[in-house]
Amino acid sequence: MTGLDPVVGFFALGLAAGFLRSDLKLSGGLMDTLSLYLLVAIGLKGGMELALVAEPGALLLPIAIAVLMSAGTPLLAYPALRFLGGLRRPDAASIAAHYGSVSVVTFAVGTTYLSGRGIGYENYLSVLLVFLEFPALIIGVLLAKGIGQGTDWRRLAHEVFTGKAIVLLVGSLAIGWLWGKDGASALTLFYGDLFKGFLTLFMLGMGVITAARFADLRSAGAFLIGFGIVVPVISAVGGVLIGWWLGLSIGGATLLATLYASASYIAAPAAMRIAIPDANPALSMGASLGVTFPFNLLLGIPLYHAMVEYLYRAAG
Amino acid sequence: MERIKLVVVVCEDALEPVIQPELLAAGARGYTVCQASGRGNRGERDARWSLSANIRIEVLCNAEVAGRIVGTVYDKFSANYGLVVYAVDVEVMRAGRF
Repeated sequence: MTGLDPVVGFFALGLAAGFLRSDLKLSGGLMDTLSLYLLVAIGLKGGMELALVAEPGALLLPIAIAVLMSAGTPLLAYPALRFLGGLRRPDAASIAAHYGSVSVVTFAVGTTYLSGRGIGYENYLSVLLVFLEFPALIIGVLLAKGIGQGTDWRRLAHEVFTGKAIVLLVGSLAIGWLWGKDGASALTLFYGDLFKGFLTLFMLGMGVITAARFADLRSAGAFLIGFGIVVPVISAVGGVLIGWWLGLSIGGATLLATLYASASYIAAPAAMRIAIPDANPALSMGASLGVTFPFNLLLGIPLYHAMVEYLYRAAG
Repeated sequence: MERIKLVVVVCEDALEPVIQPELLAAGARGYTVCQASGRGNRGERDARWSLSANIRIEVLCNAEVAGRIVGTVYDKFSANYGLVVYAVDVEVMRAGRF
């Protein structure tokens, strides 16, 4: 099993436990603690690397471009869902928002995939996590309701910008950046060396939760299952091309493609549940967690890596 | 002991920030919220994470406020969210506080 990371093995173990109706259960509190740890670790690491960049201002343009282009996913997904899939407007908009937003854990698995192969990447890409999460949520609400149609924008903005993912990522990025690698070195044992161990526990829990969402796939139907595989791959192609155009390393372009391909299953569902109440959460969660998350872990990340290698070889 | 109403709302965890202002606007002077899990006509809510978690809100109030709370919660949220709302008679000390 050299092709797959043991992290993915723990996800499969959780899935199996879920399907076997084992009493294995990670409490909600533990899952919250683990996701808090992962967010802080990713933020800190990105911040420390940012401190090493000679001209952080030079990163503004690539980050702005990567964020701008990320709008492509929901804008592509919405008409596909609405007109090819025949979904109701609120459902199509909510699912488009899930796919436009990103999954921090898929990103984390992408980084361990690359590290396990000794492939370097631009660590500042974790800054992108902050900026890729929310634009799609706003696009989703606009697609569902248009402008000024009974949306409580203040509530949505508050929820999006003060959500724990953004607060922890931005906060720990800032701390990592301000203190730098030397100042924060005491933290590298806990947040660096132990990272993969904690990630395995989180993935175990995600496996159990994902197994429980498989029932939603029945209501999602064949179209959404196909959508949950095809759209991430198309988004990833966009990510590969933009990563190449921005001059990212092979690892960096792979991570950008992984980010574009990933679908949110924590921030987006919570925000969409309130902002688009008439969207059926079973559809979006069935697709993003039941199809796209396992697809990206098992096949997607290695595929995106292979796409990047092919392009970089072909382009010389 | 005096007789007043206890209104109980069991709903999705995600509704908590939205439903609380509605309770106060309907005249409730306070409420108690706790985490809940269980099973209903929308399947199991196992509280393994926030999206499958429920909350249970209890409000002690007079009959008029209880009617308003049940009506508001039902009208605004029952179409799109899984929820149960009911009111029962209870006996309390110092009923004036509620």
